[in-house]
Amino acid sequence: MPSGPGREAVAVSSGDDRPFYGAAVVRCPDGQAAAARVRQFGEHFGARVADLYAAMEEELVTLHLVMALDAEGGYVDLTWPVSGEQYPAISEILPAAFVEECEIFEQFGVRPADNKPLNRVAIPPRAEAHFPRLGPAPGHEGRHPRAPHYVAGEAFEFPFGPVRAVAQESLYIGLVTSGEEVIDLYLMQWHKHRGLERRLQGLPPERALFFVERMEGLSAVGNGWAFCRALEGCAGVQVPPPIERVRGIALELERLYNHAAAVAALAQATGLSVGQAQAEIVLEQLLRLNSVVFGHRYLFGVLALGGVHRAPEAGALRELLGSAVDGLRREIEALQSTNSFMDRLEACGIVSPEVAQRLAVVGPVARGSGQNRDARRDHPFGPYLDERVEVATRASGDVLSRLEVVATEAAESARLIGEFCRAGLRAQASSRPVHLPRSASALGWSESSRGESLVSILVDDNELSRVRLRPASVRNWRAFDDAARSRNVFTDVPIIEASFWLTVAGFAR
Amino acid sequence: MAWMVRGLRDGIVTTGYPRRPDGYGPNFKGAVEVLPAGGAPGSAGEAVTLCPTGAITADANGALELDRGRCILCGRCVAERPDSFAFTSSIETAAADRSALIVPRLLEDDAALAELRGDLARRVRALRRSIYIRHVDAGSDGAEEWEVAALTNPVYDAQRLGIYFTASPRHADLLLVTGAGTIGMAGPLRTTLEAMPDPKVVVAAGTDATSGGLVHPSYATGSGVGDILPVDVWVPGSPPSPFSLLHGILLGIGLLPSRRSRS
Repeated sequence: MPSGPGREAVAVSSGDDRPFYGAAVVRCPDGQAAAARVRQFGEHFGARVADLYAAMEEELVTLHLVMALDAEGGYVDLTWPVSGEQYPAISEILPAAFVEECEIFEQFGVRPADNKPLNRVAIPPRAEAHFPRLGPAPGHEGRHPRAPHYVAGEAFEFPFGPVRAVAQESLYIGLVTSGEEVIDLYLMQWHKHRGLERRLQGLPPERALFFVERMEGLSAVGNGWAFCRALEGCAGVQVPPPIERVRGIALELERLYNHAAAVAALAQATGLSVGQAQAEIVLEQLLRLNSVVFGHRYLFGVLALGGVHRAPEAGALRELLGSAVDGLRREIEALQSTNSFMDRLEACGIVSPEVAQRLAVVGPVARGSGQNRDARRDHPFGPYLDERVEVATRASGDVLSRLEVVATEAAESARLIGEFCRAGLRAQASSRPVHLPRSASALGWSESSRGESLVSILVDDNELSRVRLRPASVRNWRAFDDAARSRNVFTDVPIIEASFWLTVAGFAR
Repeated sequence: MAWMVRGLRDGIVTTGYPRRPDGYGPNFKGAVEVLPAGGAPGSAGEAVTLCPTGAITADANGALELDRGRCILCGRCVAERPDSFAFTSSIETAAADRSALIVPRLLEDDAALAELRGDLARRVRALRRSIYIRHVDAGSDGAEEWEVAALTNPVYDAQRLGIYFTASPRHADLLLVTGAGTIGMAGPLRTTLEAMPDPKVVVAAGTDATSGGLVHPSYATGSGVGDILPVDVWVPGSPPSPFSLLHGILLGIGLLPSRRSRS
C-alpha cells in the first residue's frame, strides 16, 4: 500500500520488478484485471484519477493509471500491458480518463474498446504513419479530427481561433450557439503541441529540468519541483529542510504572481479597465520581486536537482513582499465591492461539485466547487511536512467562488513564505548530483498555482526512458466546456477562461 | 470614485524608456556576453558542452562565440565559467539581423548591418507615427504572452509611444510572433501575414521564435518562426523582458537611433 500521510516518497517494496518511488506500483496481467482493480480502488478508497499514460516496455504498449488516494495520502500506479490494438475503456469507469485515452491513441496507436469517437489532442491532422510519435502509429486516422459535438435546429457552430486576442495563447474554441447562449463548446489545443515528452527521452536529468521548467512557463517551479522529486526519489537523494524551504518560497511566489495575473485577467474580461490596470501594477511588482529575489521574473532556474541553483535575497523579500501582498489584497477587496464586477461573476461558469468530482479537476477550480483537495496538505512534501496548509474551499462552483478561493490562497501563500523564512533558509545555492539507478519508476508531485502537478518517470539502463508530464492544465481544461455550457452567453466565456487561469502550453506540451 | 482615489494614490508608475534608461533595467539579466581573452587555454571544448541549447561554439583557435538567438539565459555557463561568460544587464537586446545576435561581434559586420537597417527604415517610413500590432502565439511556453501583455499595462504603457495592439490582421502593421513555430500554427501564421496590408514588419519574440531554443529539434516544431515567415527583427530572451520587446518593436519601425549594445 502507498506510503502513509506525512511520509516522504520512499520505496514501498521492490520484489523482482523494478523498484518504485512515490507511487505504489500495482501490476495487472491484462486490461480486464486492471478494470476490476480500478473499480475496487474507486469503491473502497474513493480513488481519484490523477493521470493515465502509456510507455513502451519490452516492445509492448504498457498503460499506467495513476490514482490518488487523498484520504490515505498516497498514490497508486496501476499498470498493465496492452496486447492488440484495444483495451477496456477506463473512461467507462472513471470518466476523467478520457483526454488521456485520446492522447494515448494518437501517440501509441491503442484505443479504448468502447468504440467512442476520440478527440484530437496532440498530433496534427493528416499526420502520416511515419510521423514521429512516442510509440507505434495508429492503424488508421482517428474518425473525428474534431471533437464530437451536436449542431442541429437553430444552432450553428462559431469557430474561434486558433489565433485569438492579444497576448493570448493559441487555442481553437468551437462555440455551438443559437445566437447568444453557449449551447456547447469544444476546444482544440493541438495547434501548439510541441512534442516535449518525446524530446525528454534519454536526456541527462540536469538538461531535462530545463525542458520541464519551460514546458509551462507560468508554473516553472510547480512542475519543476515535481520532476526534481521524482528523480531525487529514485536516486535516493535527500534534500535538507533549509533548501526545501527555499523551494517552498519559490512555489508560493509563483502562486502569488499567478493569482494576481488571474485577478487582472478577470478585470479585463469584465471590461473593468481601471481594475485591470491596478491589478497589472501589482502583477508587475510581484514579477520584479521575483527577479530581485531569485534572479528571474518567472522563476526559471531556481530549482536544481538535489537543491536550488539560486539562494533568495532574503532582505529584499522581506522588504518588497508585504507591500505587494497588501496591494493584491486591496485590489481584490476593491473589485469585490464593485457591483458591476460582482454581477458578472455570480452564477457564471458553474462547475457543480458532481462535475468536479467526476472529471477529477484539481487546484482552485476543484476547491471552488467544494472539493477539499490540495497536494500540499493531502500528500505533504518538503516544507509542507512541517507547515500545514489551510485549504480554502467554496461550494457554489461559479467564477465568484474561484475568485474567493484565489484571494484566500494568496493570503495563505504570504503566511507560508513568512513561516519558511522564520524556520531558516540555506543562504547559498546548493545542489547534489543525481545518479539514475539502473532501473526504476518514480512519481513526483507538487501543488502548482493551477493545482496538483505530476511527473512520472521510468528509468531503464540508467537513462530516462519515459518522462510523463501532467501539469494541472491537462486535468482542468476538461471541465471548461461544462462550465461554459451552464447557461452562459458569449461574453461569459473569457470570464470563465480567466477564472480557470490555465495555460494552453501546459496542455500542448 | 474609490477607483479614482486608488489610481491617484499610486502616482505615475510608467517607465521613461526609451527616452531615459529605466531603473529596473540593471536588475534584469538581459543577455550573456563572452569576456575577452577569458578562459584557460584548451578549455573551450568543455565550455561548449555546458550549454543546453548549443548556443556556445568555439573556433579552431579556441575562441568562444555565443549565439544569443539560441541562449535561454539559464546562466549555467556564467556559473561554471565566470572567467569566460558574464550576464549583462542590457535590455536592448533585439537585432535586425540574425547574425548580429552572435557575440562577440566582428567589426566588418557593422557596415552590412547598417545597410540592412537602412533598407528596413525605408520600407517602414509610413509607420513611424503610430503602429498596430497583431500578436500570434506559435508554440510558446505561456510566459512570453504575459511579457507581451505587460506592454499594455501602466508600467510599460506602449500606447504612449503610439503602439497599439489589434485583434484584426487587417489593421496590423507589425506581426509579433512568440513560440518556436509549431507545425499546427504554420498555416494560421501565414494566413495572418497574408491578411496584413503592406508595408509590414515581422518581429520574432523570444529565443524560441528566433531559433527554436530548447524545443528544437522536435517532431512538432521548426527551428524558429524564420522557417515560416520573413523575419525583420529578432528579440532573444526566454522570455524576453517587456523592455526587450519594446526595443524590438521600436527597432522594427525605425524609431531607434542606430546604436546597438556592444558586448
